[in-house]
Amino acid sequence: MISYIFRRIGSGIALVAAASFIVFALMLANSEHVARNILGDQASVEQLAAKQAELGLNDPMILQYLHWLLGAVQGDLGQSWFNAESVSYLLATRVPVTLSIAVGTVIISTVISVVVGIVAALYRGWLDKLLQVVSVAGLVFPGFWLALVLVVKVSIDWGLVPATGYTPFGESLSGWLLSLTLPVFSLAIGAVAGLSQQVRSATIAVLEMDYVRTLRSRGLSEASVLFRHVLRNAAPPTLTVMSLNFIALMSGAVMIERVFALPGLGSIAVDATGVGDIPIVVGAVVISVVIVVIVNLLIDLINGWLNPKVRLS
Amino acid sequence: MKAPKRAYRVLALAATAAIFLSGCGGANDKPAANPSEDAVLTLASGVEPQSLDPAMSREAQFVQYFQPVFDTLIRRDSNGDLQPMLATKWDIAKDGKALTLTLREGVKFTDGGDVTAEAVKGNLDRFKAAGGPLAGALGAVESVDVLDPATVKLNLSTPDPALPYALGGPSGYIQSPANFDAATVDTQPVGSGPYELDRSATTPGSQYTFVKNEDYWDKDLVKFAKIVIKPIKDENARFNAVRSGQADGMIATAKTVKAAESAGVTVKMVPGDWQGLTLLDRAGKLSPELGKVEVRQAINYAIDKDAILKNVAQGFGKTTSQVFGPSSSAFVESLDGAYSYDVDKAKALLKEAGLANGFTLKMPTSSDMDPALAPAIKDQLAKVGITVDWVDIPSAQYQPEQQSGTYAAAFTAFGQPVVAWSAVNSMVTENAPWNVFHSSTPETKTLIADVLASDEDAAGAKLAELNKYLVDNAWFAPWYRIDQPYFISKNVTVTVQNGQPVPSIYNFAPAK
Repeated sequence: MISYIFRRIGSGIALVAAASFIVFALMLANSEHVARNILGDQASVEQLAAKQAELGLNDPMILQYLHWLLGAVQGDLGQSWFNAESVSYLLATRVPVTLSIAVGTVIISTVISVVVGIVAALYRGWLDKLLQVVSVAGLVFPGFWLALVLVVKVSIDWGLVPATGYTPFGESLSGWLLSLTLPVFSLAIGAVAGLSQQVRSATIAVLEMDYVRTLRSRGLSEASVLFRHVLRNAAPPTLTVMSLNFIALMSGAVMIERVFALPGLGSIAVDATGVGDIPIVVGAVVISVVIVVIVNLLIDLINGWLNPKVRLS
Repeated sequence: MKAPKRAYRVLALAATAAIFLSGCGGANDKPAANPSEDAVLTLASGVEPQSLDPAMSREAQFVQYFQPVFDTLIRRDSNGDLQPMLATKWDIAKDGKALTLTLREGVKFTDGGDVTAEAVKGNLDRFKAAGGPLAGALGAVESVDVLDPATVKLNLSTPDPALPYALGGPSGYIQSPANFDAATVDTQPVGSGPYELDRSATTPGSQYTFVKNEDYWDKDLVKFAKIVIKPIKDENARFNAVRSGQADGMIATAKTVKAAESAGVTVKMVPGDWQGLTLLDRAGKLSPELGKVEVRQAINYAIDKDAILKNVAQGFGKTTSQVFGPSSSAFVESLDGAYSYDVDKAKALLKEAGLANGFTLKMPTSSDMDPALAPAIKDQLAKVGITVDWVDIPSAQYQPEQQSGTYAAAFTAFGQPVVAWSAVNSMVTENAPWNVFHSSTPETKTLIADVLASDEDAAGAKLAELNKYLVDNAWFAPWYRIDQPYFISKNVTVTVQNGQPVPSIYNFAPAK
C-alpha cells in the first residue's frame, strides 16, 4: 500500500515536470508581444528590447526552462511578469476560491444525484421518468446563463446573497457560504444531470445482481440490502464520475468566476495565458496537476476501501 | 461498528480542508463598524495594477490605484486645469527648456520623512531610468537640479508643452525615497497622499484597501475613511456589484447605459475616446495604395459615421474628422465635419488615384471590437470598391499587433488628451509610438518645430494648423468621439474628470 502511494507520487512528479515543460514551450512560442503587453502602447522600441532581455526571453528556451525548474524544486515558482507578486502568493490566494467552488459543487451535486439516482432506480415507473427529464433539463441550461439569471433575481432583486466577490472561510463562515451559494448552485445543476444518471444505472445494475436476490432471500431488511451492499457496489463508478467532475471544475469554472467576479484559479490562468504571463501559467498548471494527482489518489484509496477486490497489496 | 469510524474519517477530511481553506484566504471586505461616521468608497475598476511602484504606473483607469497613496507634483482639477499640489508654483523658462518647481514645505511622507527637493529629484530620476510604461513622459528631461531644499529645476533637451500636465499624473507621483530600494516597493507603496495602502486588507487582483492618512496636509481632499478598489474585468459583474450595493462607482460602456438608468443607477458622461481608423501607413511602405492621399480621403468619405455612432455607440457621442478633442488647443470645430458620408466622392477619389477597380486592405480585429463593427466597415468600404480583409487576433495580442508594423491600417480608440501635445507626441511625431511607420512630411516637420518654438498662446494656433494638415491629408479616418459613461451608486456624488475615463479619487464625496 505504502509503496503504491509512493509510486503514484513518483508518477505525479514526472507528470508535473512534463506538463510544465510542454506549457513552457508552448507559451514561449507565442511570447513575441509580452514586453509590449507589460509596458503598454506608449513604450518605445528600445524599452521593449530592454524588457525582453530583462525577462530572459532572448535566452535559449531550454535554459529558461531549467532556470524555472531550478527555482521550482526549491519551492520558488518565480515572479509574475504582469503583477508584482510572487507566483506562489498569487496562486495561494486563488486556490482556496477554486477549491471551495469545486468541492462545494461536487458535494451538492453528489448528494442530490445520489438521492435522485437511488429513488429513480428503486421506484422506476413514472417517478423515474420524471426525475430523468428533470435532471436532463439541467444539462440544457448552461451554468453561466443560469448564473446570470440567478444573480439578477437572488442577489439584486431579493438581496439574499452577494452579487460578486468571495469571502474567505477564515474571515466569516456565513460570508463564505453566502458568497459560494450561487456559483455552486449554477455549476451543480449541470453536474447533477450526468451524475444522477450514473448513480441510477449503477444502482439498477447492482439491484439486478444474483447476490442481491440471495441477500433478500436470506431475509435481510431492504434498508440493509440497499445501504450495506447495493450502494457499496454502485459507488465506484459514481466516484469516478465525481472525480472527473471535480477535475473539470478546477479549470472549467472560468465563466462562473467571471460572472461573480470570483478571484479563482481559472480566471487568473486565462488572463495570464492571454497576455503571456508565463510564470503564472506554468505555476497554475503545476498546481492543477498536483491537485488532480491528489484527487485521483484519494479516489483510488476510497475505492479500495469500499471494495477489497481492487485493493493493491 | 464501522459507521462511527467512517464518520470520523469524513470529519477529519473536512477539518483538514477547512484549515487549508482558511489558512490560504486573503482579507476581504468587511463593512465599516459605523458607516455614518466612516464613509467607505468602493470602486469597481476595469483594470488591475501590474505594480504599485509609481515608476511602473500608467494613466487613465490606473490612476485610481495610485492617487490615494501618492500626491502628484501638480494636481489636475476636474476640468483638467493644473492646480498646486506638492508644487505650489511652476515656471517654464522663456526658451521652454527648463521647468522650475517650488515645493510646498512641511509635507511629510507617511513613513515620517520630509518631502524635499532631493526626494523629488530622486523620484524623477528613478521614473525616467526605470523604463516603465510611461518613461517617455519624462523623455525631454535631461537632468534635475536641486536649487535649494524647496526648489527643483528640470533641464530639458527640447521644449515639452505636455510636461506640467504629465507631472499631474504618473511621472509626478512622489514616493518616499526610503522605499526606492525596498523589496516591497511594488507591493507596499509609501507616499504623502491622503490615504495609505492597508496591505492586510488587500488581496492582489481582487481587492485593494486604502485607509485615511490622519496627518494629511489638505483635509479637503480626504472625504472617506477608507477607499476600497476591486478590479472586476467583466462589465456585467461590475454592474451587478454597483446595483446590488457592493460598489459605488464603475466604468461602463454605452450598451449598459439603458439598463443602468432603469435600475436607478446614476449615469455620468465624460468626453471619451475618439474612435475610427488609424491609417498608419501614410508613406505607403506596406500598402502602396494607402500612400496616396486620395485613397486615404476616400476611406474618410466612405464611412457612414452617423450610422455607426447610432448603432454601435448607441448615439452617445459626436461625429468628427479630427483626432483632437474640444478641450485641447488644437481643436478646430469646423474640422468635425470635414468629411461627410459621400460614396460617389469616395469612388471618384479612388478613380483619380488609378484604383477604379479597388484594392484589398488588411486590418486586425479582435473580440475587443464591438461585434457589429467589423462587418459594418467591410460593407461600407466594399461599396466604394475597397475589400477589407479582417484578420482575427486574440484579444491580448490585438493592440501589440496594431503597433507591430504588420498592418497598414487599424481600428483604434484613443483618449483625447487635454494637452494637444500629448496626442501629437503619441501619434504624429516621427518616433511617436503610434506613428508605426515613422511617417513624416516637410509640413509636419515644420509645424511640429513651430509648435515647440512658440509660447503657449501662439502654440495653440500652430497646433490647429497641424490638426488641419492631418485632416486634409487624412492621416486618420476618425468617426466620432464617444461620451464615456461612469456609473455611481446613491451613496456617493462625483464630478467627472476631463481627459480621463474614470474620475480622480478627489472628485468623489459621500452623498449627503
